Amino acid sequence: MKCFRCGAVLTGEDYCPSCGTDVYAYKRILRLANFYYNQGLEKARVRDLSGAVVSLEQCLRYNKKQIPARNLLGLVYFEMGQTVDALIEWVISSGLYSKKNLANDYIEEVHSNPARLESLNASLKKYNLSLIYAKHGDLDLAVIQLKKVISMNPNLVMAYQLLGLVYLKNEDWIRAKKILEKSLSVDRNNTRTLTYIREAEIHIRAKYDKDGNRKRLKPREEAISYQSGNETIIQPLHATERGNKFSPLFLAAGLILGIAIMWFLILPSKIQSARAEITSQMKGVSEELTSKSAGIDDLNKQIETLERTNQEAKQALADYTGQGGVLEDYNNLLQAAESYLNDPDDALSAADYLEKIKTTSGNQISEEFLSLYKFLQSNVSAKAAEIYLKSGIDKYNDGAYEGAIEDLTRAYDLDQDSDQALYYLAQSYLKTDDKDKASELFQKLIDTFPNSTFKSRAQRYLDQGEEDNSAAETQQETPETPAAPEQSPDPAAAPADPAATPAPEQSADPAAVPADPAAPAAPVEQPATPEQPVDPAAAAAAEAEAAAAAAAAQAAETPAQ
Amino acid sequence: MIDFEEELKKFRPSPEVADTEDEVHARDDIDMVALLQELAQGKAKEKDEA
Repeated sequence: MKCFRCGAVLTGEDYCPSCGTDVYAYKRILRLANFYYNQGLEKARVRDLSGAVVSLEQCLRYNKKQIPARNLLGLVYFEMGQTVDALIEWVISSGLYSKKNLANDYIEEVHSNPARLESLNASLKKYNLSLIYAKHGDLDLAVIQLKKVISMNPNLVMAYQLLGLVYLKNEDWIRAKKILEKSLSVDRNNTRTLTYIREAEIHIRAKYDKDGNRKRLKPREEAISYQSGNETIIQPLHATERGNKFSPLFLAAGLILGIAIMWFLILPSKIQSARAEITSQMKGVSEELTSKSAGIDDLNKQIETLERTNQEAKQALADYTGQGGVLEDYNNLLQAAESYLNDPDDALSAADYLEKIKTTSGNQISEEFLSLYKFLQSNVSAKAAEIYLKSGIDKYNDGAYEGAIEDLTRAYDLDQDSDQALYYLAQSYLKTDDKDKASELFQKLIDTFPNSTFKSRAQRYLDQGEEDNSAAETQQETPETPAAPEQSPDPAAAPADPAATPAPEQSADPAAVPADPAAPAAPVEQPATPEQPVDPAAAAAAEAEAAAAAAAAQAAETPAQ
Repeated sequence: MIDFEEELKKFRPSPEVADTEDEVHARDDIDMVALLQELAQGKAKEKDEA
């Protein structure tokens, strides 16, 4: 110990041996400071941190240069979560005595982990904020903040205390007690904490008394508590170990009872609820499946409908553009028209094209198409029929019956009113030994042309099998060409041709000639159609046809004369 | 019975790291030893003056 005035080492006397200053009071002050330091140290050792703080602060009031006391105070603050308070004490300590001072190590240790220091500082900021909330009556906000503070800085005793106080204010006694008791693990003998706990306990007890739960509190009331150092020992007065030889039996019975309750009461309900849940899930899945199946059916129907529509569209397109389609018919009609316009006398080309036209009615055919078709048909078909008839008859006379059949078929197709074409067609079949076909055509002639000049000969064949071997003649030939008896190259043929010179003795049907007075009219009935005058070329063709018809009529009249 | 308001007054805000320097100066209180030194110096002055 040194003199506070001259710094000389003091002896056991109350005066300084060097300067003679009275150091009695000084020595007592230093002794008191040391006493409080020792007290603080003792309290710190038993975790009575708040008590240690009090003692150490007292020590420093006597001697602020008591470095160990200041360092210990900083350490106690640090343990209580008051990091900044600890730093302040250590900084002061370091300032007072910088050499070989533990405070330097503590400061260095704290600053070595800036993140931890920042976290602790943030917790202190939140604590200050929650204190402000509590002072302004915002207790809910204060509780929220204090909970965060405790999670960040679990040793901050004053946060526990403030939270406990707020709980007490909210009359949440149990929580207050619980949180305050937690802080006792840091600071075991904090007066404020214990005061608050006691307050909470009083209210809890009062509440139990009010609720008639005295029995539960009785053991507590009958407990004795005593202080052992810094710890409060609470011991029940009638705490006895319950020893019983039947205890294992009771335990087993309880276990069995528990299992039985579980088996008969809890388990069935659990199973039932699980089943219900599964059933519900299955129902849901089933409904979903049904709806999806319905959706798939709908989609399949839509696909079928669309496929059908597609097929119809394809078919319609094929009808238009495919072989034999309407488009082809239009092309044929146009080509027929072109052929006719280029050469009105070339009826065969135009007729060929017209013959290829398959569709002459229906929605696909326009009125213009039909009009043009009829016009060409009327102008071309008759002329072509004549040409085919003439060609067919020529081939017939030449004995080329196959070719005759072909041409006469065409002639008849083009002119359905031509009994001559039909007759010589039947004759041609007869010559090729197709008698059935011939009979069929003869019958058709009789049925279709009851007034035909060929009817009697057809009838004779059908009735008597008499064949007509005479040469054929065309009715449309010019007056010079008909087979008049004197002009016929074959004299034997003349009497055989009913259209030319039907001999009365050769006719099996005497009424045949009178019955066919109108027969020559058939060729005459092929005049030009009303459309012919529209086209000069057609008109010319019609005039030619009229002339031919007139010649044929004249030729037909010749036998009658 | 605890008075909440009174108890609340006992709680002081905690100093923060930024306040360390100010707090160091604020806590540089006069202790008993310093007081004694001042007293001794005062007495010495009086003696010299006498």
